[in-house]
Amino acid sequence: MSVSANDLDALAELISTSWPDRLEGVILHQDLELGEGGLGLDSVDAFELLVACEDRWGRPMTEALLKSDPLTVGLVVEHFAAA
Amino acid sequence: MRRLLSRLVVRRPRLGYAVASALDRAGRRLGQSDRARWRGEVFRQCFRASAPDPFPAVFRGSLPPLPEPPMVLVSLHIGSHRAVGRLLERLPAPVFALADAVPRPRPSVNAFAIGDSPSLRLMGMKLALDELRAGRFVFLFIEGGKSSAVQVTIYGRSHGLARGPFVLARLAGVPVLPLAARWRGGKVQYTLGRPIEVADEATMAAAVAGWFDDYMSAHPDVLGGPLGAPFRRAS
Repeated sequence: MSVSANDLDALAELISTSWPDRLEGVILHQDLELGEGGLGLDSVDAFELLVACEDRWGRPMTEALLKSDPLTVGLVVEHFAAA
Repeated sequence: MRRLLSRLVVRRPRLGYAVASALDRAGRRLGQSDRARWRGEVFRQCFRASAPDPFPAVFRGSLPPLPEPPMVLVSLHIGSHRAVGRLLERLPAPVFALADAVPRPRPSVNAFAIGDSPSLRLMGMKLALDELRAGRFVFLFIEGGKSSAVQVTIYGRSHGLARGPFVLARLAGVPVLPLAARWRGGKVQYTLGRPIEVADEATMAAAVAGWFDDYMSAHPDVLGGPLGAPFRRAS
């Protein structure tokens, strides 16, 4: 699995819009988890981010994505930004 | 003793709660884990289609005007909260209920158990948002907020309300409606609030807390059961 820098930048923009402090001192990479030990988003925040991704890329989230454990930056970008 | 009392609450809710309340007043307070277990059991009974209906006389009286969907309906485990399932059955559109544990749904009430799993929580929120966007109701009890809470003051005490219901309302652009039920004689009296229009979570949660604050002030009897203990004012 690999994601482009442009897609990572787009996700970073979405995150910084709603949670400006979450990216301080964090390098966004595909293995970074959305929850504890990563971005530190709780389940409600993570859901909001996924809805923002739906709006940004125009693709719906799927059950398979939501069941991913752990949910990582790479999985999110790959799901929404994949051509 | 607690197990016996739990069974009694399930089979004879009014008598069970009267006994539990008496014990509670006598100082035998339930611990937090017991209350959580009890609350789960109450919710299971609330939505169990096969259970005998403990509220046969509920709708012999007049009902308040029923809300139009889509809307996020919220309540607390106070008063005769077990009767809330009966109200949900009679709403003018299907209801999607999110809960910690629900074995079987009632007619026209589709319940989803989210439990403690993060992925199930995400699934539950996704399904709930889809239901709201399809023009239906979503219902939740809003105490706590295991992973995400917004702090409010209700009846003079600080509480955490689940943030999810308010985020769902904001994302779907639909109002939040608080509701509650209480025993009155041999019947259950339902009270519905006014729709709280979309705002940020803190604003909506404060409005919901204010409504429950008024409700508890007007009807302090709803805090009589063991689950009402967290909301009772310190004497």
